[in-house]
Amino acid sequence: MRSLSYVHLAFRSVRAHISRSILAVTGVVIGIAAVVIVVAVAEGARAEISRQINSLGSNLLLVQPGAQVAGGVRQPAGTVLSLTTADALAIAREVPDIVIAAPFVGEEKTTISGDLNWSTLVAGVTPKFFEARGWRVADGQLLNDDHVASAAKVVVIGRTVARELFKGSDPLGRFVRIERSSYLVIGVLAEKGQDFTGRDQDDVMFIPLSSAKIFTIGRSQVNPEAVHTILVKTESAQSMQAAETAIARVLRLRHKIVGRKADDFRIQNLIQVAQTSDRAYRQFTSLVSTLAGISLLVGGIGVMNIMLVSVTERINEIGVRLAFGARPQDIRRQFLLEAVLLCTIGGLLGLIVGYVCARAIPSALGWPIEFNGQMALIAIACSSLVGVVFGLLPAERAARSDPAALLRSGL
Amino acid sequence: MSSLVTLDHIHKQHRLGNQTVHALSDVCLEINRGEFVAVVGPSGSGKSTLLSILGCLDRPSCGSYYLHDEDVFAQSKIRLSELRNRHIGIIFQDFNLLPRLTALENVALPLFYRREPMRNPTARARAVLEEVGLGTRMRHMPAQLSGGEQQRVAIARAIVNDPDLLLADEPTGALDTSTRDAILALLDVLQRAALTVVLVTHDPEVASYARRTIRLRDGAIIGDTGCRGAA
Repeated sequence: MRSLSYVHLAFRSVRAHISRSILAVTGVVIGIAAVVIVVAVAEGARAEISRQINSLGSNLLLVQPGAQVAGGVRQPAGTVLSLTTADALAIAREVPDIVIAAPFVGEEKTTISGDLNWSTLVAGVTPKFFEARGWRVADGQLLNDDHVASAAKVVVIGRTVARELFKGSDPLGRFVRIERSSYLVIGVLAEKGQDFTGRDQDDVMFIPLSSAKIFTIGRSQVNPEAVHTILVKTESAQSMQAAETAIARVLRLRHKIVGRKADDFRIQNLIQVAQTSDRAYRQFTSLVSTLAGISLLVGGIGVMNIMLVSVTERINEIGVRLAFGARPQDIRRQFLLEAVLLCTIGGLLGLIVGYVCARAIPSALGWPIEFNGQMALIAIACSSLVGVVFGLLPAERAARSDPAALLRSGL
Repeated sequence: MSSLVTLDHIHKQHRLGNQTVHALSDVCLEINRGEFVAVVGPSGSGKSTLLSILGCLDRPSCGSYYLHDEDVFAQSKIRLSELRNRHIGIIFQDFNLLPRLTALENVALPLFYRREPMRNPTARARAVLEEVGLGTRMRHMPAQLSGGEQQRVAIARAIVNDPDLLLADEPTGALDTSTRDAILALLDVLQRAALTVVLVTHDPEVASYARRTIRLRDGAIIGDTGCRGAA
């Protein structure tokens, strides 16, 4: 009841000097707006990363051929075709905690349908690949084991390919030409969007691994069983580390790599790759966080300044309140509450300004943003905290003022 | 019976730069319940200092002040606030109303700081405003009131918590003669209703309303008309 009256009192006091109050909290407004932007971008980045991780499939390890060293210079990864389908089988058989080991070959090809052509990634896979990534078809069906066993000329296409090659007409039952062979479209994959490198994950088509090797991608002369990648899915996120070590051991044994000799393959954790790809966000957020910190500091000093002026101006009011029974702590509470109210108003304004600015980020910088209720709480809490911290000194000064000055000035 | 106010060898020094000014020196004074006392003296004689000590707004450099046999300056700051709240009411020459509060809110101010809150503080404030003849102007802001009306509001504020001691610092200094008489008449009524009034003035005409006059010069009492009567 009484504290309610104090809030009422603080409101009246702020309202009495409305323009001065707004000017005083400008720093807080900017600071809180910056906080809102940081949180929106960070939340957006987090949502984006988790979306990407979901689209990559969880608990995935990517085993790829290593780099060839020619004359002391490392060639690009994949220059040695060291991995084979047999390796994939061995990994699946010998490494514990592994759900799937899916071999993969892929090459950029020009594909043709009717009078349209489109250059895209043609990948040879087994049904296990879709299982590992958790991908589904939007229309039709996925590749199955029979397709692989019979080296069937069937293809499952991504959404982008469907759009580019068939221009809106139904691709199911139509044919796509890859090199000299025609493939029957049996499925269209559900839309995936971009991955963390910005690559369009829908710009791809999948054919059976066997068909790819016979008709399309072509066998390596050196190693006919070679694959470009083995996709490994582990039981859980916890088992990934152990699986990585075990895969390395199995492959080193199979490839007869002993002692200090370097691996002829490399193992990547996709989630780690995705998580390290957000550096731009982090630079931006740390920059804006610094801005938020400085603005809140400056804003707090502004509020402190205006509160000190207010205490001086209202020395008579304070004296009267003391003379009629206010305790020093009553005065302290009144002025502290006023500073907090001032900053909270600034915080609310900052929330609005920050919201408006953050809304412009996706189109200006191309980053996703995300808003939530927690953000409003953080903004209000931050601004109130600024009010408490920078209101303490003026409130203390008010509480210590000398009521006897009332009579002396009247003399 | 003991008196309401007892001042025992009160000294007060102010420090002005490197000079020490003796505002009060060795003031001994007793005021009984229900007295109407005028404190007179030229400016700088220590009247206001005396009043601020009586009002528990200032501490003496040495000496003791007993209010109701309670040693005032031995008390904590919190207790001092409570004494100011419940036992003392002050009115000032320039009224000192809070400009952003209505007349009613100004009067209710001491009720706001009461330790044990009143059940209906607004009703009490309204009743007191009616008592001082301002029943129709409760919602006015101080700036909308005349000087006399403002001082009535100030008086209502000073008596709203039923104090024992009403202190007035030149209460009519800023008012014209007819308003002055009306305010003094009001104080007289209040005093007859068992309130103890101490009024500081340099105007002999104002002092004549009081039944006892204490003369101050250079911080010392040089005359007290009511001493024998009171004792």
